[in-house]
Amino acid sequence: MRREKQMKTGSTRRLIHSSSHKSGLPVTNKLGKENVMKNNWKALLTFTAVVALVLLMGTSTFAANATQTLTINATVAARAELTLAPTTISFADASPTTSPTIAANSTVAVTAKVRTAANSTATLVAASSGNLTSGSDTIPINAVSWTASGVPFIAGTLNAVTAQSAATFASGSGSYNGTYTFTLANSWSYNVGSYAATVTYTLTAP
Amino acid sequence: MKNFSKILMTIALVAVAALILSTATFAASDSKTLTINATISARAELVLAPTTINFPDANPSTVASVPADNPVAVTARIRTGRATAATLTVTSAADLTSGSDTIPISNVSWTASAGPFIAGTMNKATPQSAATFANGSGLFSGTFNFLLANSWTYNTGVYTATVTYTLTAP
Repeated sequence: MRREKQMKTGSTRRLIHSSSHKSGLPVTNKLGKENVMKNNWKALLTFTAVVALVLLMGTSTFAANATQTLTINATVAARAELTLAPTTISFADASPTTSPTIAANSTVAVTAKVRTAANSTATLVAASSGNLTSGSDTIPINAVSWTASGVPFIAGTLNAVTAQSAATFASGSGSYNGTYTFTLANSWSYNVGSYAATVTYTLTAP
Repeated sequence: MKNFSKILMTIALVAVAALILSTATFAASDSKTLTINATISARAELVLAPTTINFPDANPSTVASVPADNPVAVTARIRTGRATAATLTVTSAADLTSGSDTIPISNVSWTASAGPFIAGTMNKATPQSAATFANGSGLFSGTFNFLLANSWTYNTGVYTATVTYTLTAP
């Protein structure tokens, strides 16, 4: 109790000493109001700052920019697809006197699909395995020739030794359709028989 | 040293792979076969020109054999097997006739200009061979020259006979 009394007495003395003012108001009250005002401003400023910060944070949450690059690669390799239809043709028997050339029973539809460089040119060649043969009898394969319809396919004559060009392609890639029509040069010198030969067409995309 | 070898091996593998890839990328081809069949059957074509000949009248004392007014060109076109031979025969159905008069057809004979055609004499009973072909196919041309054996025994008249030539490609 004694100690408490001393503390109370001391603080009163300090307050009286520090609050002396000309206004005539009690010094203690005036200083208290100013402090409250100051504290209010401080609180307001703090609040504003917090709101601004929250707003800024909110903005940064709901709108953002990010950049990424995507590299797209595509590989286009050289390709060649060749289709012949039908893959077998036949020449019927006929008199060489009235039919010096014999047309095959069917035309051959040809489709060449080529992928190559812009400055490269595809090739299509026909290579004969040999002459038309029937046992030991032969008909020279160069008795077989063909005409062509549709660019870039060309006419020619089969050759037992050298592969023959069957098309003249322009540079670059493309898909081409055409028709070959085959004929056999007829002759009385052919011996009786059923003759056959195989011709290999090769499409190359360099 | 081991690491160096590993690096060399890796470089070599990469190089091989690059070569394979580059091959696959820069060249491609596709092939299709076309089978060609041809049927050659046996055929025979015979051409005679002209198809009529005439023997003029002649003195048997001075012209023992009367030649026909024209030779006959013969063309034989044959397609047969390489091991078989064509035949050409001439058949006389009857003698030369003029009403009821006759001249034996065997009095008509012929010569041939070149092989495979051969000379012969007409025969009413048996077809006569007019050529001897080698085996296999071919185209042959020749000429027949006909003669009539003249005789004082022939009665006057205009005589006619028909003979048939047959070319066979077996």
